[in-house]
Amino acid sequence: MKGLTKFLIWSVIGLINAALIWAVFTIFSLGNYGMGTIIAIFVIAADWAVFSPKGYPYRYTLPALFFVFLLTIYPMYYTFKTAFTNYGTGNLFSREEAINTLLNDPSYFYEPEDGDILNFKVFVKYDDNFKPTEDFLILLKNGNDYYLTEKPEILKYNSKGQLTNAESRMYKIENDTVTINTNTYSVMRSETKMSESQALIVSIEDQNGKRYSYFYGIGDPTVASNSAYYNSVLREKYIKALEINYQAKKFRLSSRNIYRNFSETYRVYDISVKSESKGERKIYKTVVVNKLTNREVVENDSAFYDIDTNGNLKRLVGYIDNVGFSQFDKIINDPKISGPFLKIFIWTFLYALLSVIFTFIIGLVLALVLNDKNLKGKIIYRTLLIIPWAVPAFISALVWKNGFFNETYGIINKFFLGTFGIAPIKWMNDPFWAKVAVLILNTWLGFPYMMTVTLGALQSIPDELYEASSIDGASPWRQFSKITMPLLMIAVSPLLVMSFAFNFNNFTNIYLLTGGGPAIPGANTPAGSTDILISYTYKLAFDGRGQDFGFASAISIIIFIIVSGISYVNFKISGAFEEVNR
Amino acid sequence: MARIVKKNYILRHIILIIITILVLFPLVWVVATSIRRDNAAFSPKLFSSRVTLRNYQELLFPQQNVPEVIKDFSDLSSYIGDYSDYTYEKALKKSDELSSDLRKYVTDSTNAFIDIEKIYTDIFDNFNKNYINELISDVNVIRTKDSDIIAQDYTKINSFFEQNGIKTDTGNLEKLISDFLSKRSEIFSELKNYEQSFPEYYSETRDVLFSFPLKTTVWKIRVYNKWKREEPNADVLGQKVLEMGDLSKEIENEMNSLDEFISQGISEKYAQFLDNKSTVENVIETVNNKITETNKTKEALNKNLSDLNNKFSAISDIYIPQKERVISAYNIIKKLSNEDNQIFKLDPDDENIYQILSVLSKELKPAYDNIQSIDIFINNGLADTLKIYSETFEYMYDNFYAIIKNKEKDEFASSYQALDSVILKLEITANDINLLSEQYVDVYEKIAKADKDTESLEESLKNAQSELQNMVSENSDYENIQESENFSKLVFVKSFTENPINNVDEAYYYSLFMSSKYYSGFSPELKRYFLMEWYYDLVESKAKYDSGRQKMETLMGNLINELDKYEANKDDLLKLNLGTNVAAITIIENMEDLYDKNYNSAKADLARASRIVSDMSDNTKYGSLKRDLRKIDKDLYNFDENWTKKIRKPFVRWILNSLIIAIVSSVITVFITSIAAYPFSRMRFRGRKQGLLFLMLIQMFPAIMYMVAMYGLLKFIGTYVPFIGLDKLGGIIFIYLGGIAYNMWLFKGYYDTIPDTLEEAAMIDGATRFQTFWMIVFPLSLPIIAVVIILSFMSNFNEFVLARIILQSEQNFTYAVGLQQFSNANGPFETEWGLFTAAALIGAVPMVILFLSMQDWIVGGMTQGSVKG
Repeated sequence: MKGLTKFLIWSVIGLINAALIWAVFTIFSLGNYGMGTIIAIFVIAADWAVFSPKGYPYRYTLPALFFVFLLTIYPMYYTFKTAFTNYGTGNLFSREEAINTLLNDPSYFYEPEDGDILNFKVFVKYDDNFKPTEDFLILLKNGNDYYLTEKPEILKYNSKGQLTNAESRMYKIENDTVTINTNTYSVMRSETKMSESQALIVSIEDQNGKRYSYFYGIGDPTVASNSAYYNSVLREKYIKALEINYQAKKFRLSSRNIYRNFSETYRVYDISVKSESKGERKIYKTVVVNKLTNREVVENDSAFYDIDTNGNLKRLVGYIDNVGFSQFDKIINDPKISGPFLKIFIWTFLYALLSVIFTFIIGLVLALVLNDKNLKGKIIYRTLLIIPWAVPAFISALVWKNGFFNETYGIINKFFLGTFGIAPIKWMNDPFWAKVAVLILNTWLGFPYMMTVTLGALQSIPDELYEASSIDGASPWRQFSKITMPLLMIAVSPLLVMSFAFNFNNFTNIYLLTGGGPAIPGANTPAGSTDILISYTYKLAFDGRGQDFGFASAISIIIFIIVSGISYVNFKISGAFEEVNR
Repeated sequence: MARIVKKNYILRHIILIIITILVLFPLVWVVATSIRRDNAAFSPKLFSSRVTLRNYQELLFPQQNVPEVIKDFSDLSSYIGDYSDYTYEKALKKSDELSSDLRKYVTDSTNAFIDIEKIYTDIFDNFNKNYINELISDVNVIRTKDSDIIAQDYTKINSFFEQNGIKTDTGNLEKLISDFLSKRSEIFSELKNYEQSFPEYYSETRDVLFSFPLKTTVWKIRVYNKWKREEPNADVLGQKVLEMGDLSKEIENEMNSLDEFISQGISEKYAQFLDNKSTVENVIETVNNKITETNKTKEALNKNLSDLNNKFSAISDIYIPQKERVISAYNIIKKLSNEDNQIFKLDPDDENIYQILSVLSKELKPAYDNIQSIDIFINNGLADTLKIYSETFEYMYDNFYAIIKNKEKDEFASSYQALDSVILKLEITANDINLLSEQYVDVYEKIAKADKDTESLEESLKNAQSELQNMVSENSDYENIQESENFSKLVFVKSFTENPINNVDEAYYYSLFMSSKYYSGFSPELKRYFLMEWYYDLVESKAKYDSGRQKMETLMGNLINELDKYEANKDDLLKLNLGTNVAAITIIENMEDLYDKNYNSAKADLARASRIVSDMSDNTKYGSLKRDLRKIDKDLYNFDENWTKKIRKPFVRWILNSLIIAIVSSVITVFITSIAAYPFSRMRFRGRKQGLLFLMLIQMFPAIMYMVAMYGLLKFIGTYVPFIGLDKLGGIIFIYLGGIAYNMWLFKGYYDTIPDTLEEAAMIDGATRFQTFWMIVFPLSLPIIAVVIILSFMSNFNEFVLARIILQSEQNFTYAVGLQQFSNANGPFETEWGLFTAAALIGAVPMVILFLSMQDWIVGGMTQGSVKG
């Protein structure tokens, strides 16, 4: 029994190891070296913990460690890496992927003006219940010549399982028979008295008597009812990206004829290898060539450019490339970025600071009021006042935004200001009032927390101190300033720093209330007057005007550095460095 | 002492209650709005007493309403078969469901109409029986209030007249007016007899009778003459109405003479002031006229200018591109200036060029002179170009023979050819360019002048206005002088308001008259005469309801008709499109058409009826009437909900997504965390301190800081493992597993409180370390596990940013993302506050309950810095 358990445990360990090592190799082969390395390190660390008695305590933490590696350390690495690249709209793929796009994307095919255009009909083998199967032939017609091709055997799919490329070869039908590979097909025509070449081909049989019946031809009303099967199965699975070869010619469904025919279609771009002599050595380099103009595609600024006949450059596709410190350089030297950035930077601190100050003051006052043993209904008040904290912040933000700060319908403008005849405030379009709105919301959301923690801290101050001081004749104010505040601050100041750090990254309230707006005029990034760094990052990366992951990551790093500073201060204040020694 | 303390507490309670109300107001508002029946965003009221739970029903148990049923019908019939959602059997079943739904809606609506009709009748009966007198007396109370206000004005202005020695006698006028009013009442009571027999004539005559000044001319032609013919008896009444017209005229005359008398008195007294004032006013008027005139001219000029600009841009397109070529050619050909320029016979081609040159050399110079100072031509380079061209062509014209003689020479040939082609190109414009440039300069100058004029005119207007302002503000009697102009109207209104109101019709017309501000010194606020119009509103809403009902009944009849046809043939109709869509089903298209064409106009009528009724019910104090009005409003609301097209969002799906994501990820994290926290509590090992510090540190960096990385990570993984990818619930769950560092402290703290002795005992009995954890510590810490699961459930449920980034299609949204989309600016629900607040509450209430019950843990965790905010 014990042996079996042991065996099971070891085999599980072995399997997991194998799986992870396989994953490492796969990920490396996919070109994601960062993730591969991190998982590899994890595997080594895990194996050490499993095999060495010294690593015993770590065995408990292995699953947690796995996620920490993958979801904390890897993202950190990724952010740092991305900050030094131009990853973003226009530069979304690696160089190989970009080249691949040039080679395989349908928008980079061309159909020569005088190319052959083939009509086609699909012949399908029916099963015993007269349902069509996926076994089919395509009959193509060029002038008076007929050609036949079998179902393609070479099929390539992308990661989402969609067909990207299929290939087959077609053969000319002569004397109503054609031999493809080992099969000989013969054509059955309808027995109308038309000349042979015009008579309708109704089915095709191979040498074993396997019969393919006429199933679908575009624009033929007699088979229109089969279009569903053709479109959703045959075309989707095979014909969409089918390339039919005949001698040196290549045919695809013609985009020019709205996919009603096969026409001669060729790639515009092809790769070739160019040798360059660099000093003594010869270097071979893959380059992309435009086959129509026979010119090499220019590679500049991490993107491929085609040269048209007038010598103008046309951007084809960009790829991800290292750009060094230029993202950081932008923040300092590009006036259209540095100005707004500075504003956002200052507002981020101001926002966090003011939020802490307002919430703390209100929280403190309420705590002082509530901190009285003789006050009846204390718990009710406390529970009611804590509710803004209990409501999920995003709900509150949306409610305030929609119901209260809306400039036209919002009840602040409509009822509270309206009844006093005050002109409506532009909560969303005036930078100052937008900031006020954000602070109002944040104060409303945050004061219950401050009230609660302050109340807790106040209750822990011993009564004797007050008794003694009042015997000594201290006024309430002196008691407050000399006893309450100093003792309170010792307990509360780490929490204030924490709250500052939290608000520093308090994305939800900003984004949901104002969306960071109103926009800062003259900025060429989506910078808004109420944006804080993190919401700016979000907007750069995911909102609206194109994605700029590289720049967003650069700003993430700045946030990272600032938060690290705050954390250090906080750990010092709260004595966390000592606490972990316990 | 005791008393002081008590007083103190009351004050404290009051302050606390006020603060609590203020703090909770947004939430109270949310609750109140979520159960409102009317559209809160457009309502002038903060809260409404008309409530419904429909918003919640709509979100949680959405039911197809009529347009959706019809649309489903059409979807169903268009394509059934192997590659659609429906097999034939399913389609048949679905079609039966749909038609029974539709029938049910029609029956319900028909019943509702019958109900509403009955309630209306009740209201009318009830009103006429029980409330009419109360209404009339209430109305007269308002009238008395008006009368008091008017009387005050009257006294005030009278004393002003006395001060200035103007003696007015209004006795006669007042008598005339009260005569007029009492006669009017009499005639109206006679007129009432015709209400049933001649409703149109009745209402038109009524409108005329109750107006003042009473204008009978049109009425006489349109109503009186026809009516007389149809019903000779009505002639007597008609005569009386005409007499009233005369009486009205008499009153007007009297009023005019009174006004004249007063204005004489005033102008004697204030001649100087009035004179000055009218002078200044005249100035203002003339200046204003001039400004309008100049503006008109300017507009015309600007249009001219833009035409010319177009022409010039066409010219620029011809001229500018050749510029460089001409310069170079000129530079070469210039060298010929010393050559002999002897005249000889030119061949026709050259002759032609010579002719063009003669024009060009004449025209271009003045054209250049004209436009050289105009900025747009300097900027686009036309000015420069013209300068060069005129120089070149002048030179060529002067030295033409020399040029021609040498044009074949190698060094000049190409230059000449270039110039030759340019000259031919310019030919078409040669004659026009100078003319155009003159026009251009002309227009340009005129505009500049007009601008200057406007400026100075506006200046003088401002001066005149401020002068007038000063004049008026310096004269303390000005207000009274102004009001004295209205004195006769004041007298009229005074008598008018003193006259009692006898019936609902008089009340209605009283309101109309007073709201028309016949006497401009008194402007009633919006809802002041609500009661006066009460009965007429009721009648209007009934009329609208009747017309809407009629339209709806036709629509419903037609729908049912089509439906019957469909049902009779449904088997075959459904089979028609089996496999693929070959034919549109006309019957169903008809149903869609019927709805699209007819519903909106019916809805407009019913909505109007409903608005009036809801307004009335809000402002009515008559108990049973109010209740009935509410009932009508509610029925009409339900009707509207059943029939009006709606924008649907998969709200239930969002909630489910949120629950799945939050539950799965929190259970997994908590399980992993509970194991990982164990060694930190029980064992001392190398790296423990660093590990704890590290945990503390990564808590400071919320996952949203890595949003780009998270996106990139999922994009990468999703390519190979689709179910952990972007826009997948698995992806977001995976991301949330990164939150394992949180809550570690709660576990460690809790493990620290479980005594070691239990484990030691177990180990002595031979248990391994892991067994002691698994069989002793883990079961003992189930309470904390439950707590942490709930806490992390809450934080995952409330997470917005990552979900927003990762989930992209509407079906996969979480509640948080969905709610945001719900209320996006300019989104369909920005103003649908009922649905929005209901949706917000559905998410908020469970969270608030969980929070309050977990309060102590959350606070504890927060103060330790161990729970995500």
